[in-house]
Amino acid sequence: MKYLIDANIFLEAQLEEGKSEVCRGFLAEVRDGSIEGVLTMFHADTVAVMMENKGFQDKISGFMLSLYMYKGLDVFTLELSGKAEAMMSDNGLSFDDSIAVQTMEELEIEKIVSYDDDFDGVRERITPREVLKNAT
Amino acid sequence: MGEIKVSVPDEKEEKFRKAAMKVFGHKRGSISKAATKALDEWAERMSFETDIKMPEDPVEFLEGNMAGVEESGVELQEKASEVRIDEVSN
Repeated sequence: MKYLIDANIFLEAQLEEGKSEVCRGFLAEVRDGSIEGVLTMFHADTVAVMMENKGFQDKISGFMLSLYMYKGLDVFTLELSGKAEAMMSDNGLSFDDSIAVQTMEELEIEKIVSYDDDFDGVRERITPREVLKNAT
Repeated sequence: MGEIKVSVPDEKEEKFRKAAMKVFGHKRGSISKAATKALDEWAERMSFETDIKMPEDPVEFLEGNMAGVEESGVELQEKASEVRIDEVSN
């Protein structure tokens, strides 16, 4: 089972609140290759945009390079045609979320790991805690 | 010629062999040609000219990186769209 990993998982993992630990636990499984995931380049950029916006520019290079180190992670770039197609579907999602859905379509991925409930009713969403529970 | 022996999951091996045969034909040397190309491309991508060190551990690296930020991950992600729009329009 391969999951699409939403940007909010990498963002939560860098925060200090309740979900950060479980997100890092989930990402540790991806790092070790026991869970497989895909992150789009667009969503990697989303993480970087917010790191910059919040004054953590000095950490962006390390974040980008660290993505190479996950055994179970593929970073996927959606073609322009895919981005166009993403916006043609009438699902009421934002551009950001539509990119995720289009990527799932193209890579035949069934579930997205995300805390964003905008996906509910559009695609099957699962949280890092649920993924970890299913994996044991 | 050098020799590299690697262990990969079965499904990746099968996928790679199929792709190599498709591109270089069902003949001797196809796998080596495809592997040379793949290795070369990967090494090229990794040879960035920068002094930045790779983090020792990608997950430990994340811990506390954005300490002090009060919004949730979802709120930050939604805000990223606004930031992008602002940057485009300014």
